[in-house]
Amino acid sequence: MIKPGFEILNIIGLAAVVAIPLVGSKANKMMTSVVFCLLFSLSIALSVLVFYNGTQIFTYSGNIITGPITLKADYLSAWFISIIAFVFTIGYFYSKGYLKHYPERTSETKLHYAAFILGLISLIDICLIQNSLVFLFVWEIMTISITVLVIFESHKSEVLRAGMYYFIVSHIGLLMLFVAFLWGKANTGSYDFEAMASYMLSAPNSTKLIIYGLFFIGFGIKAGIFPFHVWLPVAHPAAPAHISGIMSGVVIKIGIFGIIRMLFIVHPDFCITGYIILFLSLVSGLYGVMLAIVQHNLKKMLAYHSIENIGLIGIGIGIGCLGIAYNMPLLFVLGFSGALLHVWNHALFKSLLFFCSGNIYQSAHTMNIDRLGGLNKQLPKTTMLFMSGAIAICGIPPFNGFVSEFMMYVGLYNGLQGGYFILSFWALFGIIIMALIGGLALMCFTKATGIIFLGNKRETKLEYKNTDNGNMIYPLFLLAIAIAIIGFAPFLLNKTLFSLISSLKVHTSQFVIYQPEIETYLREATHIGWFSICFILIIATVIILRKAIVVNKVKKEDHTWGCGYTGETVAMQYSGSSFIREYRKLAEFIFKTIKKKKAAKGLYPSKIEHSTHILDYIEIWLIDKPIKLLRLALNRFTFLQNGNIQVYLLYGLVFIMIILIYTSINQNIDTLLNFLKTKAL
Amino acid sequence: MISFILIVLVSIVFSGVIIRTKSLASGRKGPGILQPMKDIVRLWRKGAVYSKTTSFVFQIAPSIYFASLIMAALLVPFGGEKGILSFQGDFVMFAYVLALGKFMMIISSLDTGSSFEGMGASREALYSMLTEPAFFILMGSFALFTGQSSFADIFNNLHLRSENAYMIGILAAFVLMFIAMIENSRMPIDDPKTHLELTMIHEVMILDNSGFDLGLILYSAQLKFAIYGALIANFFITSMPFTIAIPIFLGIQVLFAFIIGLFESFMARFRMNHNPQFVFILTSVAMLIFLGVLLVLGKLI
Repeated sequence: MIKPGFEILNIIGLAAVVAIPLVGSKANKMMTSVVFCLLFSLSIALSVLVFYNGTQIFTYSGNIITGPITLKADYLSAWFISIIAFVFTIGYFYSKGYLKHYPERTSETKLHYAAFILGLISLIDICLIQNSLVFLFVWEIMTISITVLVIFESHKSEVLRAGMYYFIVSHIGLLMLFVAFLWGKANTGSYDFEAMASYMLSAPNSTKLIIYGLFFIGFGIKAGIFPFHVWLPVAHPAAPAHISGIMSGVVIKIGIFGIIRMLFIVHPDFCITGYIILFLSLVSGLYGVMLAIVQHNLKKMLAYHSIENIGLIGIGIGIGCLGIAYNMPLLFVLGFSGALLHVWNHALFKSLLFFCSGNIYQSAHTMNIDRLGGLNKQLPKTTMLFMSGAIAICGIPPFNGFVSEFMMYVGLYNGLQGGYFILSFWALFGIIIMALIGGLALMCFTKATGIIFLGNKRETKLEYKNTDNGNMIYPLFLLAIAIAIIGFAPFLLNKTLFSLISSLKVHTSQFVIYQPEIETYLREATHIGWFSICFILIIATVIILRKAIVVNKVKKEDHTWGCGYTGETVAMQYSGSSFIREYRKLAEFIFKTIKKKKAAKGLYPSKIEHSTHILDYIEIWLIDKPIKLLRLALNRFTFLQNGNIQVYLLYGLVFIMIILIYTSINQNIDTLLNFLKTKAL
Repeated sequence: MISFILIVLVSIVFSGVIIRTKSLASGRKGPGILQPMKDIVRLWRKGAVYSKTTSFVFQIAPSIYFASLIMAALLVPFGGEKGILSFQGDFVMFAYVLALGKFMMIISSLDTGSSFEGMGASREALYSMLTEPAFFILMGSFALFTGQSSFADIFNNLHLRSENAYMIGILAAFVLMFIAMIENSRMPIDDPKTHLELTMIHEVMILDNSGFDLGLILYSAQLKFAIYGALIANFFITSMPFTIAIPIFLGIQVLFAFIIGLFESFMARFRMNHNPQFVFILTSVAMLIFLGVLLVLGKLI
């Protein structure tokens, strides 16, 4: 069943990619909608089938280079495929509204949708393919199609630059994967994952760690784990909103998929790996949110929050690995189910927030938080949606973010009680950081919600258009509903998570876990949904009671209290920068602030300006400075490129000469060396 | 059940006791203990003025804030006796439920578009962020100490291990008391009776609230105090019979209010930019408790 489904899915996708440039734009709209509906239903059916019928493996004969190509549809891939299909489809329907604002870019839109479909099917294929060469091939197709999606507004130079940035950084990741996979091929003689897994069982520990390290960096760059996160805050703001949402919701998750998949293929030492993953994730969680707060650009802020959430997912994976290492099944179950559930959760609320940011952009044509304000009067629905997304991303009950964070907290508290000093210490460290992340996220999203949507317009010249309609709003409600469902009823996912967790096979002798154990732990953890329901009932009761009491009371409207001043206070409102000023002063050691300030002079001062610009130290040290050095070094060789064609021909000649001389000497070189050796000795 | 009833009872008189202490300390007779509650009831009966700038957020925020406190109160146990809702990791939910209340209050104060209220909101967000780790470390230490991970189980097993529990309990009471003071914006952090908007935190956030909503917010503050007082009391009562436990509970709550009153009578407010340092002290004391627990359990190498 799965094999023909998979084939049809790919054929439909590829046919659509070929057909899009050939069909007129009217028919195109119809066609892409139909194709997306088909792809969505096919891939959801695929993952449902896997969850009902268990893992399916099928093999194509392949060719002489690749060898046989195996495809495995297991629970892990089904879980990720369902996320990919859901977010892509919502993103597609949202994009139909969003791209209406670019009516003149018809040919770009065609290319955009072709890349869109190609991105979707390549992501789905990545989840299934078990052959490393084909995997890398499809991985590359995915990277290229996402790059094309990012540079939709290619007439802007910063967008092109961001696209190139993403493209180059992705290829550094690809290089790491390439090395690791080639190593596997060299040692096993086949590209198959299964062969690699069985070879790895007998490999020495240090080799496993190095190979897993390469995979971790390769996939970590895609996922945006600290310190490989630098591309996220560059690429996300440049892309159109639906693409940012998809990138943040799905594309970086494929990195997480790789990290988890390779963990159970390479089987590195779970203790060391667990601690390293936990450490990097804690740092990226804290670092992401600490930099998110100080951003002025809404999309950049959300991009930094993706780093934070990848950190949270990583914390879950780290806890799970430590559970294996210390033989604590509860940690294993809660860690991995927390991480995997957070993958869904983050995909939902982050894409929701990015889509909302698209509505804001099309309404006000700016992403600068400090210039906005009072948008809720123009976009009431977007306000509601953004608020629910904000509450969910802060991990506050009753929404879904809380469920997965709760699982990780309980996991950490159990690690604390585990009876191992080092584990207790790290668990405490994790708890402190998770608590800080929670508090900082609250600060960040009260800033975003409060400054953008509430209060008055900060810039009176700015005009808001109404974008609160049609395709730009209704698909988002689906996301909000999904957020609420996971928040209120996480126990619905018990069965799915159960099969998912029990499919993660660990081949170490000391770690044993029994199926009923997994079931009880999951049941206890997802029990939290009932309390969220209870909480929402209390809130509803209080609000209804208040309404009933207030309805007969006097109700007046007046100006906001201004200490006796009743005039226009629009320019006096607190801005985003002032809201976080005290925090910025406290946390200034972690980022570089460039401040430009002019003091007011004289009795009648002219217009003065004040600006703060935040720079990421990691970006400076990891990208900017090395590139500067490289440029300096390469500048020495500019004389070679002098534009004179005769000289270039000379280079070719010199090159051929060198090759000839080398080959002729090469035969004698051993004799020469031997001669030297005997002489020297 | 019993803890919820007691918390509600205590919350009615809590502010009264603080105010009475303050007036006695300054040589006045002072209003009756029920006076703050009477004021609140009067507010509940009044109409309200809303700012033209505000939206639905401003209207629902106080209710959600109040609901979050009710939910938190439901989670608090009475010694070994479970709270109405009790489960593994309920203290995580306790902290996060309170966070929803904070979230709504902060955005509702930004909703008014007033710079004063923005100022208060900014400070509230910062200080509550800084106190968060202290609470989690505290609960972590006790989870480690007792080997349990829900409020009721922790308090039930607290004194079974050793007499050291009282020592750790006192330190914990200290931390929780200051968390309560910061959460409620009381003296060393914020002066509730100040008349300058620039130096306020919580009071400035609710400048535009009036009528029923203001009453709800003021009552929530009392409820919050009573909840934290109940948590402190739980460190000492554990699984005693009710006849002894209830007087001890009430005594600790009155003592708590009394100490707050004394603090406010004899101390000046910190400078605003020194507050974060003070809040960090709490985290370090909580770390100290954790180290103490490790020592007691013999886990520290």
